[in-house]
Amino acid sequence: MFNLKQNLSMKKLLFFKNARGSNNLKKALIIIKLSILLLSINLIYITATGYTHSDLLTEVKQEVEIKGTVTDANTGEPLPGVNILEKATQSGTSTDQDGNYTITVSGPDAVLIFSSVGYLSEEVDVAGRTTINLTLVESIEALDEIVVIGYGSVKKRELTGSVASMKEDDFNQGVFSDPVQLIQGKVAGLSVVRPNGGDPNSGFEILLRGSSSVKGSLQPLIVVDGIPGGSLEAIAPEDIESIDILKDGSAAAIYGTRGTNGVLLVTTKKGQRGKMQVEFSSRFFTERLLNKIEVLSADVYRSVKEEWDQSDNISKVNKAASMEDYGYNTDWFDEITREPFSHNQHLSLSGGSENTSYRLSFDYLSQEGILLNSSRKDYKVSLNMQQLALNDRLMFNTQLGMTNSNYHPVDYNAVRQCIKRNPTQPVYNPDGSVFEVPGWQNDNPVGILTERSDDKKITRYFVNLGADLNITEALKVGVLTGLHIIDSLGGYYQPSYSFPQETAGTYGRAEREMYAKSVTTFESVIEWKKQLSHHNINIIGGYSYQDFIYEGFEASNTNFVTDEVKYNYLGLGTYLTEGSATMDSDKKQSRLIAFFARGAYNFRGRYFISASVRREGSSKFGANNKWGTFPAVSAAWDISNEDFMSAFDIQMLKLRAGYGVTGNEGLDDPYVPLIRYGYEGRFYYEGNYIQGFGPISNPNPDLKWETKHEYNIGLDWLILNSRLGGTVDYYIRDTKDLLELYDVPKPPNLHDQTWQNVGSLRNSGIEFSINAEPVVREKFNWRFDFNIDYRKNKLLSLSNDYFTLEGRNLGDIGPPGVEAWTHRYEVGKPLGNIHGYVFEGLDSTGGWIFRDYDPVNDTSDGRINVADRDVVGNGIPDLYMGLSTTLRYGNLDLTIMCRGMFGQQIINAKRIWYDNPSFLPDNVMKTALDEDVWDEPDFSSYYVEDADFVKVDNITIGYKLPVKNIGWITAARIYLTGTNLFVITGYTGVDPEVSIRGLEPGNDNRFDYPSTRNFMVGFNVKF
Amino acid sequence: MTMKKLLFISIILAGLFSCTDLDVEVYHDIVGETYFKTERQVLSAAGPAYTSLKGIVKPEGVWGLNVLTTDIMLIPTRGSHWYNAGIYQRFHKHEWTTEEGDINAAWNFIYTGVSNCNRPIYIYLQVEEITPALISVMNELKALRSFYYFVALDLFGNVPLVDRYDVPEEYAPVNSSRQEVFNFVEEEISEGTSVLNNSVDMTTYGRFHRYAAFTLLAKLYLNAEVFTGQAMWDECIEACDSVINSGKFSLADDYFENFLAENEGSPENIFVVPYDDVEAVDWGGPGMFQLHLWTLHFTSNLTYDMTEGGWNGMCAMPSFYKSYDTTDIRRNAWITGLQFSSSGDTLYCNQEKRGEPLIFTVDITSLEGSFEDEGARWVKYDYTGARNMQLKNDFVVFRYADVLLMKAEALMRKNGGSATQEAVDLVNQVRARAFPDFPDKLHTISTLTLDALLAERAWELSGEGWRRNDLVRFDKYNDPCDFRPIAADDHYNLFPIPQDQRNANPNLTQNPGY
Repeated sequence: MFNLKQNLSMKKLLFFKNARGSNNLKKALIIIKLSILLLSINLIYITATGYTHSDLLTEVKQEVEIKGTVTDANTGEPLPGVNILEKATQSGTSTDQDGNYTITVSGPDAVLIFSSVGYLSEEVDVAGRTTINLTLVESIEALDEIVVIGYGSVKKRELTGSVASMKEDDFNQGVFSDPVQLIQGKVAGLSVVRPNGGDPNSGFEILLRGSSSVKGSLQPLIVVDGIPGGSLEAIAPEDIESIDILKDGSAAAIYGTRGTNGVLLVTTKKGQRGKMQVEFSSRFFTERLLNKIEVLSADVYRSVKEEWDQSDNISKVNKAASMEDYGYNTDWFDEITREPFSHNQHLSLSGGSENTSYRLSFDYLSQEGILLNSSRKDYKVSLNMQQLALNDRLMFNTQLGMTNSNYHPVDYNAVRQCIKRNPTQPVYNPDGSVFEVPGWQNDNPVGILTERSDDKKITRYFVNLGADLNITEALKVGVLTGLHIIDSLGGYYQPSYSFPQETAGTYGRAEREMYAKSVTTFESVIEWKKQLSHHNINIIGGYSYQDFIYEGFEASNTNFVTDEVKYNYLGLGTYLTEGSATMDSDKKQSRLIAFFARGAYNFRGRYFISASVRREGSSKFGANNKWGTFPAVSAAWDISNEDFMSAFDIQMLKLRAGYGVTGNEGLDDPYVPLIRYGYEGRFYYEGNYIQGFGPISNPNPDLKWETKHEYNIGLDWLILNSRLGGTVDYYIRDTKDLLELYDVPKPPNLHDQTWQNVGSLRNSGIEFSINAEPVVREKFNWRFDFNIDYRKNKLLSLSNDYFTLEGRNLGDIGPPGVEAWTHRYEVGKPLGNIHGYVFEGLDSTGGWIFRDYDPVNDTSDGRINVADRDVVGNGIPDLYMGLSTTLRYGNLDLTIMCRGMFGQQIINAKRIWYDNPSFLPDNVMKTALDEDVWDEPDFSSYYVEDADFVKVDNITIGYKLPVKNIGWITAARIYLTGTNLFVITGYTGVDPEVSIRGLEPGNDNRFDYPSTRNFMVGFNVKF
Repeated sequence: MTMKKLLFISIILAGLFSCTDLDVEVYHDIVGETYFKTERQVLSAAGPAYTSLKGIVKPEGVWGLNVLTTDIMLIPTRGSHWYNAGIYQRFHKHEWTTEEGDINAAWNFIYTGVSNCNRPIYIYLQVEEITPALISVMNELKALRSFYYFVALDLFGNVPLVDRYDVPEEYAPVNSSRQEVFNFVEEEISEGTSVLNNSVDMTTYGRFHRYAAFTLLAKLYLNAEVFTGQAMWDECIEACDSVINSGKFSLADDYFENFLAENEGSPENIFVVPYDDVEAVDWGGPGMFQLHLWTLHFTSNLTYDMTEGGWNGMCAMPSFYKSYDTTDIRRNAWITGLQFSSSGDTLYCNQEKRGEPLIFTVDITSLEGSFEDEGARWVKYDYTGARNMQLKNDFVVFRYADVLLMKAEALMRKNGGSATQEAVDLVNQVRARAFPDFPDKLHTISTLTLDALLAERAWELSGEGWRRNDLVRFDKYNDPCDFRPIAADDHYNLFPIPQDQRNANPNLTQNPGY
């Protein structure tokens, strides 16, 4: 029916140069279908034309069946899921849950390879045997372990770039929401911070090797099963098999414009062929406040009022007069918090027949936050399916997934109101309504939390279809198509009886907001690898296409006849007819297209070299600069493989060096470089208002990505029979062509700022990690992992011949009183500098004495003004530490994970207002009664505190139940996990773990979500 | 069939979709210069020139520079509010620096307006068949541009003159002298007085018509001595006469009729900037009329049935409020005393004096440390029912009463600073309305001194944005006043070229003294 010629003409047909715009989704689906169809057609063609090449069909001769059991060398327990592969034919099987296997090999002289994640692989000569029992040795550094490096994978021993590989065994335990927590504290150079305490609706902040950009994105690229730009939130932590982190430029350059902040390659679990396995895990947890802000109790508040009333200090008398006693005793923290109960259930089914394997998983999370009404519910379903065909030469990969997250966030203003609220006020009126006192920013915190509805539902769908064909042993071709859709629908309602509505005199405000995002991906890769005596060569080439569409809609209305309908009947409000309702919609599109290639070569496993290049174009950039080239080269020398090293007990000693160029796409808005017209307000024209239209930004057709050049050298070592190993890396990363908004002369420009590529930034650092297994006994096992890294950054320049910028002030402490910036970035200095007055002392009345000195002009002018501000701290830590240790004794295990950050300062913003008695009659912190400060709030070094900390972040005690005698259970484990348990710090605020990323790090502000300790009990069962 | 063939197939497979097309759709925005086709679209291009004019009423911009630096209004720091890094204290004490954001905002207001005029003029010149309607709009935009340049001339003096849109890339203009800017405005606006629409009705409401141009010309000539060193009193009188003799304007019977929420009926307002809280809600746009929020107390919304409380900022300078004759109806542009809700309930303080009845005092404690209830509040415009955080009253830029007072001043100046009967008559027209029951309050030749005229202008035009201009012309801008015990240096008569602008364009030179 088909022949090659027709295929060729289809190429033209499908060359969708004209595929534009609105139909892209449909087209993407067609592409997915067609690509699979085409692949199939080609294969049918191959088979139909009577293709009988001996490469495809192996001659059957002298088949032998081999049986055996694989066990753990240390514990003696059977090992399920061990892959067994016949070396010559690549046919294989895996062990069942009892460690047993059966494999038919091509002859009595066959060679079998046994491999399992976390164990050293073994090559075994069959040598005429029919039963082969084997023990595998667990390894902290399994050198034959496969590391995913982007468009391919290599053995750990062959790595030339700086790549960290985290497998299931390395993961933190007790992780239920964001999978990035699995590797928190585990990887040198990767910081994972939770800036918003225990908020179930807020995630983690990831930063690899420091801030590489000023205005561009700092988020590492996340690649899930080969699809770049994925989201970790869509995956249940228990569905993840490994996370590989491409740290340096030579490793990340294969991802071009998105590689600058590093790449996290996530691989999800696939099914194992064989009998169906069921795994069920369940956990239940609760949270408690990590620290409480101590404010005046009602009794203390009253006694202060009485005492100050009698004072001879007129300001105290005035304060006392303004402090009102409402006659109640309210602990506002108790009122806004609860003892939450949350749970997470996970079920997975996996198995398969000879040619098919599957894994199906369900995950349910119901989480309550410690603040009233903050909660989240997630449902996740995913299916991974592999279908083998053509004697296992062709593999189809199908992934289908759906997650549904229901978020109920709360307004962090509740915490601020809770601190400052008069403790003698009641929570409720006698009629049950919330007690309110009119005033500016003076809402009852219980009302904030309980009276408003904020619901957001995000549904994510993903479909990935891929096919890999081993054309010959050396040549492989793969295609991968993906369609990811994110639908979000939000609703917000403020009922008529809530404080803001009562203040405004309106009867309920409702908002509805929705958006849909879609990402269409197509990638194809050809891989050729060959071993010619001692020369190993691996070459890949490929193409990548991604199209991103965002569509949004929002509307609001006010004044409803009833609060019952909330945001579900927007038309019912009166603001629409009165002309005060709001409505808007938006749609954006962007596209990335790339060609890439990589070649790797090694000689005798001693000398390694790898080079890659990606040529990538982005629609987001200016017409003159759409395409860019991102090259990389790296090399390694495995000294331990040299003959002269054989005398030493050194399993590995490898020196690595790499250089790579990556880009940062940076801007969210894909249309920045264009001349765009937009709504410019309405103007009065002959009795009517008509729309004004004008350019909304200055165009810049030269705009391009930021480019990062990174140099990395590293050393990997492994000694003492693979029981002690480690890695050291040193890097310098220079980002050039920084994206920055520059002031441009106006006139002639219409707007006073334009996006330009000017300036450069340097990050450098050194990373150490050590992995050790000091004790390996059958009964007792001790493992120890430690990493520490030092990072430094400096803004080298913000100027070129045309644009000059010395620095910028930014950030905002906030009203009342303190309307000043908090941070400043400046050429020659690191990012994250906190900038304010220098506190020198207090006068006799508690008034501020700030340093009156302008270091720029070297003057002291007798008054305190903005020139007296100086650098008073830096919110970015210098030193990061992570430590995990696991002790196993028999069936018991204990894991402790600690994290630390050092060298950073934090603005303790709560103290600015609440550690100051001048804020009475609003409530204040207990420490305010020390009366050291008695002045208007102002921001100075007085509130900037050292925030070095060490957290005992995760303690897990587990017990493996002895289930050997219960036939239908293969394994069972129960455990207790505590997270965020203790903080050792000199910082006086609640939690020194605040945002360390971006331009305003280290701000512990008034509006936040309390940090919590999390206590969990859980169990896993395998059937 | 063999390796080659397989390889071939693989290459087809991999290369199949190697599309390299990066031209995506731009959905949300309208791209390019080809947009303007229909008449409505062409008109919409003129829109930004007018919408950016809405910024004229911003206290953190032109209005603030013209009023909050003078002896009639100020924003004292109140408790923990309104310190705002000291800007309002520096404004009052004439200690501002080159880095003040509000001064930069005024600059941006001017040049956004200029660019928004230059661009449509350029677009119109590209239109093949230019219609009379387009010519009319183009004339109007030129006149409007000269208004923006008048503001620049007044506030900054030596500013760059850019009158075209198609400038070369990386063009960075230099300052023109104040004389050159003056000449440019004079030439453009004089031209406008002959070609602009001369009807005064709804078709020209809120637009730069011929009488707006005459009034601007009068303003220009009245200040010519300040701008160029050369007085032009006769030219000023002539321009005023063109307005007065047109017969199209008269004083409203009720002074406050000019400032109603629906003030488009005023016979007196010559040029206004229209605002609307429904038709032109302008969140995040060029400007919202929010002076009510800047002056009223947090709870004053209950007095005026507004949906939002005020921000409790600016109030009258005590000496200025006290300078009013107690029978002057124009004093009612301010409120003092105990405050009530519209239903008669007493209002209470809720900040540093929480719980005490809210009584607006005339006196204020100090510039640096006042209380929430201090100072008379400015309620010249009718705030009743204000919502959406903005007023719908149209802001009055040029008013007939101002024209009468300008002519009187020019006559007196021409007469060596002494009144003439004609000048007295002109001033008394305005004054008679302020004292309907007190004919004895009218001026005579002997009572109408230049100082009396300046005071009259302050009472009549309070908060309308002309006080700084008047004081500079009378050489009293830097004189001591409440909370400014020492006279400031004369270089404060001009604002500095904002440092931000000089950073962006190093060709700009700074005004003397900064």
